[in-house]
Amino acid sequence: MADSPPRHPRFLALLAILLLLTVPWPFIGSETVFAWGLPRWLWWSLGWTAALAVTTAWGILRLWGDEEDPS
Amino acid sequence: MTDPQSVVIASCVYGVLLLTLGYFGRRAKQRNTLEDHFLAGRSIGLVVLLLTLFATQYSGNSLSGFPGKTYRAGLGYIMSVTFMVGVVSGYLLYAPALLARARKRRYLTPNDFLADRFGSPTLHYTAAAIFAFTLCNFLLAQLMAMGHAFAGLTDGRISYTAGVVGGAAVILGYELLGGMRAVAWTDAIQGSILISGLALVVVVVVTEIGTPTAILQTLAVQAPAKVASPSFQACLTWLSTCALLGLGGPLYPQAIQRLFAARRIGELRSALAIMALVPLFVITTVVFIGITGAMLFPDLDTVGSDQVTFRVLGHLADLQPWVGLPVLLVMMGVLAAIMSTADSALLSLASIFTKDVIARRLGLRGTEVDRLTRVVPAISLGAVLLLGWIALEPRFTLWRLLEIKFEVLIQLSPAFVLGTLPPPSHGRPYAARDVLRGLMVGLTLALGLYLTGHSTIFGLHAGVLGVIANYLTAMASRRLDRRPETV
Repeated sequence: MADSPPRHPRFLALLAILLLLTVPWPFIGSETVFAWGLPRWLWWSLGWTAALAVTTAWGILRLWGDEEDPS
Repeated sequence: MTDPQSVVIASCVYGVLLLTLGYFGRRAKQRNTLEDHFLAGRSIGLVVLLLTLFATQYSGNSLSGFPGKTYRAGLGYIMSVTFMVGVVSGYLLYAPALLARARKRRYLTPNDFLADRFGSPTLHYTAAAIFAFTLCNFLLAQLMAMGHAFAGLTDGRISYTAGVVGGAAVILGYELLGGMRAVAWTDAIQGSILISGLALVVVVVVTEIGTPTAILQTLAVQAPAKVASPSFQACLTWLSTCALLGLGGPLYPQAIQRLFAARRIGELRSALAIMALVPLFVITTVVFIGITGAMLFPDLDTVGSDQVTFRVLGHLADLQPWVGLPVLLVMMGVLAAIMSTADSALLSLASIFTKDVIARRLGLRGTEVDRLTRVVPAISLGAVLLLGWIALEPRFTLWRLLEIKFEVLIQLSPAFVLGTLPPPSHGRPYAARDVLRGLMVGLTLALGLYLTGHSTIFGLHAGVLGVIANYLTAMASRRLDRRPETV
């Protein structure tokens, strides 16, 4: 079987945690406060989404093996 | 607003360009085989691959529908950035192992994997029906969107009917001429138009209306609810939508076939890595357009808000005459996005009928299936005629069924994810009966909830609840039913 992210459960767990973090849970019901021109919850969500995107790209480039013949 | 006459002329020029690309696609054909027609002979390189993946993932809905949703839901629809990244993350669950196997065994359709891995005719035909249902849904929605887009953008100079018929004829033309090669090339053109149009619009909005921070601060005073943080239920829906699209999006057969069509795994990895970053720029821009619309036009109804992209563009063109070119580019970009989604769905639908249904029924194997290249035009024509006819006379009872494509498609996720897992150290690998039991439980739950009016429960989609039950059933089946795998 080719090397692939399912062979790296910690990486998949990291993706799941990042996905959970993209949701602005800590800001539920709080007042909208702006920081550097944008609502703070938006910074939170975009920041973790960027982390998810970069981690996904890293996983694709580093954990996806080159083998053409798995079995 | 941009002169409708110029949109008519640009549409005609664009149609001729697409047909010309189809002609060159035909000339570039290397062999008269299904692999050459449906997968461009597995020869698509990095740049075209990236742009065709982009054009396939970003439909007309992403450009005109997402700003409308942002307008109505407010800044909370920034979750669309997350779920579009999630679609690419979702590939990591099964695509590397699937691709390795697909290249060795020369799969043409996603269903080839299921047939090869599980060997169950019941699973094969059920999956083919789910894929065909999803693709018909896509194609029909795009044909209707094409009719509305032509009629709306040309101020009625091209009627809805002419838009559906003309657009479908052009798509059918270049697809039959050049197959996947032509579709990928036209997708590349369509993707380029989309990206350049959006980039120009951002520049124009920032220079003529204001920066995102200025627009958001104005909106916070004007309509505070639109910039407020999402409620708990909205957060659950956010997570559920990410799961729905993250598991369902990578299962689109047209997207999987683009992975199969890559020239080299290395190029595919590079293209997908870039695709993971694309939503940060493209979808953020699309949400920005919706927010700008909410500030400029605060009182739109649902229908009006669905046209908010065009209203913002019209407003920009009224402010500055030089804005006409970017506006025209984005308008063509919307048309291009619709057409690129439609052509991918049509090609994939034809491949599923040809390979998964006809070749299977006739018992054709290996190179014998290439005899079916002669029936591909008839299948494509038949699909366009049937769906075009429905698009011209929409039946709303049918629409209800078509809304549920993701809830249904996502139920195939365990078949691909569990089917590509490495062999376990203890017990047997997943068998067709495990996957089928899960699929039946998942489909029954998702469709049952949806059709009884419970499309979401506590913010969680029926399809997501169905797929959780689906995975649990398949896992329990493997653990409890210890008979050895028969295939």
